[in-house]
Amino acid sequence: MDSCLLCNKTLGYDISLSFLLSFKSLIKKNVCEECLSRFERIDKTRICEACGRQMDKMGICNDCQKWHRLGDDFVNESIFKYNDAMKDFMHRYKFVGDYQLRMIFQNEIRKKIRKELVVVPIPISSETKKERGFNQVIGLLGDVEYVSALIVNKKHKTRQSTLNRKERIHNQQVFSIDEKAISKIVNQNVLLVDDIYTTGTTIRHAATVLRQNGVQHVFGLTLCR
Amino acid sequence: MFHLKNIAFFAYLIMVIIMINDISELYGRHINENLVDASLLNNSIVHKYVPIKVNSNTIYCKRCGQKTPVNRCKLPNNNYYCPVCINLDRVTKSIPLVYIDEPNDFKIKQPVLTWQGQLTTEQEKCSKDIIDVFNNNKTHLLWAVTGAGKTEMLFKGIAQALVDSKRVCIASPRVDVCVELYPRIKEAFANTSMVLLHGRNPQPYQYSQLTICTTHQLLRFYHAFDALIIDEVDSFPFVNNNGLHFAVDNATKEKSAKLFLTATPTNQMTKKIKTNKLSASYLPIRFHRHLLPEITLKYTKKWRENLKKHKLPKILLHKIEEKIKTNQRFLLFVPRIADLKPISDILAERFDESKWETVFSSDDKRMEKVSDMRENRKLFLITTTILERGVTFPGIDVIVFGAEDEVFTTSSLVQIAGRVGRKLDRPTGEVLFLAEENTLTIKSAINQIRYMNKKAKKLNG
Ligand SMILES: [Zn+2]
Ligand SMILES: [Zn+2]
Ligand SMILES: [Zn+2]
Repeated sequence: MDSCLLCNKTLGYDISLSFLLSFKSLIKKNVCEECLSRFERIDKTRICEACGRQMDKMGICNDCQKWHRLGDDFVNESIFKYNDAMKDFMHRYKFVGDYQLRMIFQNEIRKKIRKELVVVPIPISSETKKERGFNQVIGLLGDVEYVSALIVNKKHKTRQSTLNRKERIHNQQVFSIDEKAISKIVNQNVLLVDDIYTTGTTIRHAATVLRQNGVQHVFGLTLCR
Repeated sequence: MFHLKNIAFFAYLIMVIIMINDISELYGRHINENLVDASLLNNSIVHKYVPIKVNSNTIYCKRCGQKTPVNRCKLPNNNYYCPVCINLDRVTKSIPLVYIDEPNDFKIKQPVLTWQGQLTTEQEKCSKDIIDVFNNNKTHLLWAVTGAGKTEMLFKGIAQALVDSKRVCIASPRVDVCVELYPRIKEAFANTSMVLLHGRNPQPYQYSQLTICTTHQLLRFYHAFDALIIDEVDSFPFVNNNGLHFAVDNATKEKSAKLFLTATPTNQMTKKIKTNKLSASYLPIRFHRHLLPEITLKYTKKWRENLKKHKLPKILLHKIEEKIKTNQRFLLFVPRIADLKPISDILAERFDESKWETVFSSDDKRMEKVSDMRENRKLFLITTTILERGVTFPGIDVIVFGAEDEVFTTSSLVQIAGRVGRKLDRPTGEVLFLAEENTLTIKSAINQIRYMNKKAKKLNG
């Protein structure tokens, strides 16, 4: 018998009459109902239309208004709130490195994939890759096809003050394009996927690099916000 | 105050981030190489090994002794990790574990034993058995009833081992038991270096002669202990689990003493005793020489259906009323967390709500509520099985409502009954089980208590 990936309790299958009558196939569960109920889905009827965060009603949040004033109209969608359960999940999955936890939300991510969009995951640095042993975003993608179009820049040791303004902005750019992947993304629309949207800076940096390299339109998808 | 969960969270961070830079922290402990300061790794006394062995369909983890199907633990790049013991931090095939053979590098400061109490004749007899177990590196079971004073019986044996420069560990599957034990052991061995280790404790590790830890934490050790005591060996979650045996073997030296303590041996243990595979000492009588309070069983038919209709059985209401009137403190055990609120709500319609609290294991305010009870601010607690052992309140009665539920094992029922009559000034009390039906589990709890009382009567003459 399988056990819950989060609390280790033995998992039963839902074989109630109503379930059987619903003609759904018996989906293999990874997490028990109790653990699952601790995650909070974002209610899509009242979100920020730009970053996808939960709000009291539809609109544009203060942070996104600032982005708009800077001329950035990036649009992101998130599935879950970053509540205690999600914090705990991220901690165990990313920082402790329990790779099997990737299976918990693979189905949720898969449901958001659209055929017409090329999926690009946010990359992690080679040091993190070595330490963690996996890219947590690619883990969440499961068997979804994706293009590793981005790479994390090596950290520059140059002191910011020695650079002029243009160089400084360029130096802040944490990502660059993987030349080998350009043909797969040029003139395409891209779904950029990350595990979490915090300030939105990371995913926007990545979107900029993609646009600079011929991508037409970039949409964001994160597991949580 | 921190949430318990947060404490666990920070403990994690500390475990992950703190680098080992004192060589003594590797004595008898295996640690991920990348957590050890590079300057220590060049030392020739540091040994290394790869913790994960990959077989065709499974991997085997040498730290916890468990197998995992390959599809649950394969990392990209042909690497593997063990998900079973991951909450101690992650072991992978690509990072070796490093350790140093236990050198028993302790300074003995006299007097080692700073406890000055007296043992009863029966305790003294068991205490001698324990000294013999430690001296001759035996494996032994001490079956002592709840309230027998088993901790005190350990003191002379432990003292002898410490004087002999041995490294000693007391482990229990339950965090509560460890937390409760630590100050008592610290007082009894005030001159000995000591460390308390469990998942919720942010206190960093320090090489010590005496370790008190959860059985889970044993997995961090590697051939460290000369004497290992496992308290409440029957309790969740290791019971009948070969994980415990692996942890015990891995944490102790090849030649070492293992002492198991229990008030309620499992069938497996009694079988081993009967077939002479395990030696045992019995202490059937409490330190105050009174018998264990026996269980009274009353039936409450269809109580769960009635509870859904917002009704409690009359007998329970009467009992509670009686105890409130006479100011008799008690614990009301219920099977499920979900039962706490409806029961409390019904009682609140009849009685003064300030008299009680409800408590469950992951309750953020658990510690506060227990101390409210201890300091007489509450007359009773409605609780799930978490308070079944370790925690004692003087002069209480217990009621188990829904005693037939499968969450109550024989061992937990005997432990719950054992909360009553612990102190000399009230050596008796009421143990009432209310149940839908008489189950095998309830029957064997009743029988275990009768069996020990029969043995005790003989001792009393
Ligand atoms: Zn669960
Ligand atoms: Zn927004
Ligand atoms: Zn393991």
